[in-house]
Amino acid sequence: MSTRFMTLLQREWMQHHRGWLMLILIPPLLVLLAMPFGRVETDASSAPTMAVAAVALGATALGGFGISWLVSMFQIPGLARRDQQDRSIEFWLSLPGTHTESIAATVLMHVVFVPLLALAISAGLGLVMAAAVVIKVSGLAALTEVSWLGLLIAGVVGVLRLGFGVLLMSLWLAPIYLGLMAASAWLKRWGAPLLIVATLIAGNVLNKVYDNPIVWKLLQAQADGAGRALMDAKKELERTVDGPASLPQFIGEISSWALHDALAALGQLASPHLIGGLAIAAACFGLLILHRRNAH
Amino acid sequence: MNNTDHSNLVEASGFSLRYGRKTAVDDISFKIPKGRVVGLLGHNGAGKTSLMKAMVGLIGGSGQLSVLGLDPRAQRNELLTSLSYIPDVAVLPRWAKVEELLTLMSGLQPRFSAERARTLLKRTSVASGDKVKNLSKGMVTQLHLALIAAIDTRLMILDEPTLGLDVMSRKSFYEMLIDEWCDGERTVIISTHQVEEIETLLSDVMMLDEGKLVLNISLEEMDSRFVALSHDAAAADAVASAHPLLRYRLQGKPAALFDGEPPVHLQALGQRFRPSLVDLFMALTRKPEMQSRQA
Repeated sequence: MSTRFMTLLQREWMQHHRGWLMLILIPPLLVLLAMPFGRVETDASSAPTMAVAAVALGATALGGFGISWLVSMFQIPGLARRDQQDRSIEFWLSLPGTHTESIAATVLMHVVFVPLLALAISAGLGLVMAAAVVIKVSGLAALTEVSWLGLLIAGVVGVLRLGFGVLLMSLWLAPIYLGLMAASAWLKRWGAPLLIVATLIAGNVLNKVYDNPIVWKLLQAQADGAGRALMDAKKELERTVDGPASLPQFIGEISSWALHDALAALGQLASPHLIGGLAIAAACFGLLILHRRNAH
Repeated sequence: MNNTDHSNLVEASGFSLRYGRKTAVDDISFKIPKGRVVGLLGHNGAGKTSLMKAMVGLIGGSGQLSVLGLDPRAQRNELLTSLSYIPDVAVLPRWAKVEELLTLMSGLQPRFSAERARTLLKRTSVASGDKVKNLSKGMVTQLHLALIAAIDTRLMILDEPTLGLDVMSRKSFYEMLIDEWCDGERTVIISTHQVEEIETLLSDVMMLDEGKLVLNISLEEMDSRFVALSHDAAAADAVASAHPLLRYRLQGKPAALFDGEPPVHLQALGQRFRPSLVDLFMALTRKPEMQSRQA
């Protein structure tokens, strides 16, 4: 990556890092602080300690990632007009750099890098959470019942699979968030609500009046593709892990599962839905560039 | 554009710029060589900001415009690495600390020197740990100048850089500009309403009126070309009949401004003096109908 693009990414970090770190760190830290005073509901008789630790790790990692991703999705329409709203756009336009670089850096940071960071930090905190939950449920001595190295490896593999999934998921969801950004850029604060309402109306009219659910089918295809890209591309996880007892075995085989699942998710990119979505995303990106070119 | 004379930093030939039906810049031609301090003067809506935006490639027009030998619109990115520019409504990002801005400028502007910017900032009361949102408007402007003056370029374009600042801040701004940036080789183009404050800094003046370039002249030429004559009220009719550019009052006495030597018979009726830039600005950009009403 060029120095300029890295600097544009750094600018996003400078501007937003406090909010991001608070969002990632505060929820798990609050849970950890509250743990001595609360209760952890688990069926300790049937759940091996390793499984309890794995669930705590997974829930913390996915929870942190999920919160961060949801907040990013809420924020992203507003990013299209952020520099106009704080009136710094003229300053940024007075410096070298293409419009493509500027918009791409913002989108990449918020849609990909921040969720990845949240995933990595949350997974790290997940190990602490796992230890705390094990102590809470089974006592201090139970810590020795957990294969921490195995859990760490499983955690790293899981993060790598999810991280790869975030990249692919971003491609699937690109028409949605770039569409919201373009609508917000051109129609200001009403842009995103108008796009959502217009989609709802178009979907309902086509479905109910013309008996053509194409809007819902397209949206479902994008959402399904995004979900599969993130994790469990072949929808086998539920069958593989059918209860807490099977978790330790799954953890032992997680590397092989993650590799095959990632390859399956990669293979699913060869889809007309994804290509059509990317074409829409490219058009929306073009609209964002056009808007930024005239933002002075 | 490649056959541009590179001794001139900016060249325009038959350049026009329109917003729909409105003409912002109307068929202007000029050349700006190196080592000049050019004042771009004009009323609100005269086309100053549009021309400056065209010079930095933010908007395009018709005709020829070359800046540092480049086509500003087609080669905007390359051009912005080679010039320093403060836009008219430039607001530095309020969330940023001064040190963060230095880091960002270092990464975005290849000719920027953070060390130079720190040296320039020592002239101001801005500290590296300050956040932009905690600085006064004057301090923000000083910071902005320090940032762009630390870019090693040959051309600086300043669009109303001191608008809204108090007199002390304006003075500090121009002092820093002249002391730290102008070296006889570099050119700066300043648009402003505060004509009287920058008159002593300028080497050249360009005046725009409703998009037309009504004057493009060096201050030396201005002194030799334009003559003002203060006279007694009794001579007013005689002076008016010679059709001066402007009739006005100076320290309570009637005066008239002429493009060229006033007729010989008038010179005996009054006292010659050098017209100020403000008077010349008024003469060349005020509507004739207003002039006749107020004379």
